[in-house]
Amino acid sequence: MITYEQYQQLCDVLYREAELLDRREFRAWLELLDPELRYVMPVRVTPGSSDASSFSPAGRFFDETRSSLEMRVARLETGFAFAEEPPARTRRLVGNIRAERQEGAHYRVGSNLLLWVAYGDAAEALVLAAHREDEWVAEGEAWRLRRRAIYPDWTTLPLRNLTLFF
Amino acid sequence: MATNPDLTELLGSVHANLERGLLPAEVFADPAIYEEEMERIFQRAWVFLAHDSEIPEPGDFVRRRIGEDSFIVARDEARRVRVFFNACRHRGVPICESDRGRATHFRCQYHGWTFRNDGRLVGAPAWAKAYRGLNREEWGLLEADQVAEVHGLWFACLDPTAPSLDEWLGDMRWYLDLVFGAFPEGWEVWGDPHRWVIRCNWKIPAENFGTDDYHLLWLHRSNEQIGYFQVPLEYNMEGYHVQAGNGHGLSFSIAPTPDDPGPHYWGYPEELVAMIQRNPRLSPAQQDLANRSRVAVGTVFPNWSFLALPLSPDPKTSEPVGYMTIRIWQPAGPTATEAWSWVLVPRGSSEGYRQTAYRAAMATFSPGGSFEADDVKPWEGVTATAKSRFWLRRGRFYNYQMGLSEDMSSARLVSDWPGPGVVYSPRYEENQQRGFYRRWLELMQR
Ligand code: FES
Ligand SMILES: [Fe+2]
Repeated sequence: MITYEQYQQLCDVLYREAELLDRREFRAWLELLDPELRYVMPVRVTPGSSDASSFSPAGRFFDETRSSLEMRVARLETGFAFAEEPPARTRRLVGNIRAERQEGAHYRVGSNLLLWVAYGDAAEALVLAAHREDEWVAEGEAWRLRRRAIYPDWTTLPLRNLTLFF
Repeated sequence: MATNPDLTELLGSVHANLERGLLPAEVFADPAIYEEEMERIFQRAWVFLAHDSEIPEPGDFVRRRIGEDSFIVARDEARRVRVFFNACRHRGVPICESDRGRATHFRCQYHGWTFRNDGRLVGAPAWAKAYRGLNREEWGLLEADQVAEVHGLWFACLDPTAPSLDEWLGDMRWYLDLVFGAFPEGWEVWGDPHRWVIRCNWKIPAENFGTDDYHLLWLHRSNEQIGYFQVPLEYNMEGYHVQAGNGHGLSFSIAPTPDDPGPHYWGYPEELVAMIQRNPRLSPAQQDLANRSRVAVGTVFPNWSFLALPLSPDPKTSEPVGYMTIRIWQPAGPTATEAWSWVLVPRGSSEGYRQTAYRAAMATFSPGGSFEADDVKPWEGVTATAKSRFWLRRGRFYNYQMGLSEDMSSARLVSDWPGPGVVYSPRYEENQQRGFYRRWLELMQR
């Protein structure tokens, strides 16, 4: 169980995180990440039987640490990460937030993410959908993301590349 | 020969200009060209489908494509690998919608015709009343005309008169023996493939992996700034381009001598290097090249590529490690390509190696990879311009003139290369890319 106030705080941190990413304030976003972070997005498939998982046991689109995410941010800052020059415009909608308290100050938080993305002057934009399973840790007033598993709703990624954070 | 006069003229124009290093833009966007490719190339070529380790047991299958057609690659109960067109023989409904799985039978959703995993029609609802007189033998699944494997890499060909896979590979076979035959026990795929959509013509990534090293100097410089390159980029260009026949080609970044500092054996860790050194099937020339290889990257015509090189999952915290990735550039219309990419790990490699190698591959060559994320965008640009009326009227040709003559670039024909093929060094030249289109034209005009 968690209190309504704790739930409110967790919603707030997820919304703030989405806002930082949409504004491309990546350094501020990195501040939300615990040094022990594990950040994973499995590859999804259409499996052969309905009782088999549709998430690949070993295939990943991301398998990151805080340090490797920092490297991705540093690459975007070089000005030569041409995939994001000019940068994508994104809008993240976070919803269906479900939270429960685990041991101590650890909280399990599930959420859905709709990520609207548009590049350059292309008329079409894409919406990418995913479910996220997080672990957040309360550190005094601050919240740190310790774990995130991103479960995408695509098998074939409809984008040319994946230089976005989820 | 093509029957459409416009197409005949277009192919004639490719022919007339290719040896001058000019390629008409229509090649990357014209619907008639694309339709002809589906016929003349994908109905005739040996096309890569799957790695053996994706279907290790009887009943295992994966779903793949040749041209735009869906095929099932299945290992039957007798362990034979078969390639079936994914359509019920009754009215053609696809019988498999899964990416992978294990099945003794495939049953059609429409009327329930059922096929065993060796392709035989074994039954249908109310068989005795409905089909007493039907000859089952005649109504099994359609199979690819030829299926063959090299180092666990399965290819199929829809032309019964086509040469064998070995003959098709030509000199490339020697290099596949080097790069994929390096480990005596072969490879396994790690995880399911990445798949993503690029709005580019399928030939552009194929020729990029087939010796466009020149783009490294500019496009990938963000990686230099975050510490990815072990060898300075200009020095790295001192490698070799190999034209391996029949449109196949590859490129080596290579140490000049066996004791040069920097990566050897594609940067594989020591325990894997020991496996290569003990491999009796590599010739002395292959052992020498394996030793000096930093990077090997190439394309087997038409649309299968590979890349072996050392990179790190995170240059700040870990050393580069050699990994192998393979790709299909799956045509999806004249201006769209579905990229499929796998990471292969040597059989017998440690769990720790596999984890690091996979993370390194994902961080660098994957849709989110620090190299590949940037590669795809200009490929879309090449394709977009190919649709421009103004470009077609005024510029029309793309430039493929690097290394066209000795006056043009510093590249020279190499006479003391230890392997087969026509070899140039340094890598400031586009002979192999012209060779890719020479082969393309040969098939398109035949
Ligand atoms: S179409 Fe397959 S059973 Fe009729
Ligand atoms: Fe590249």
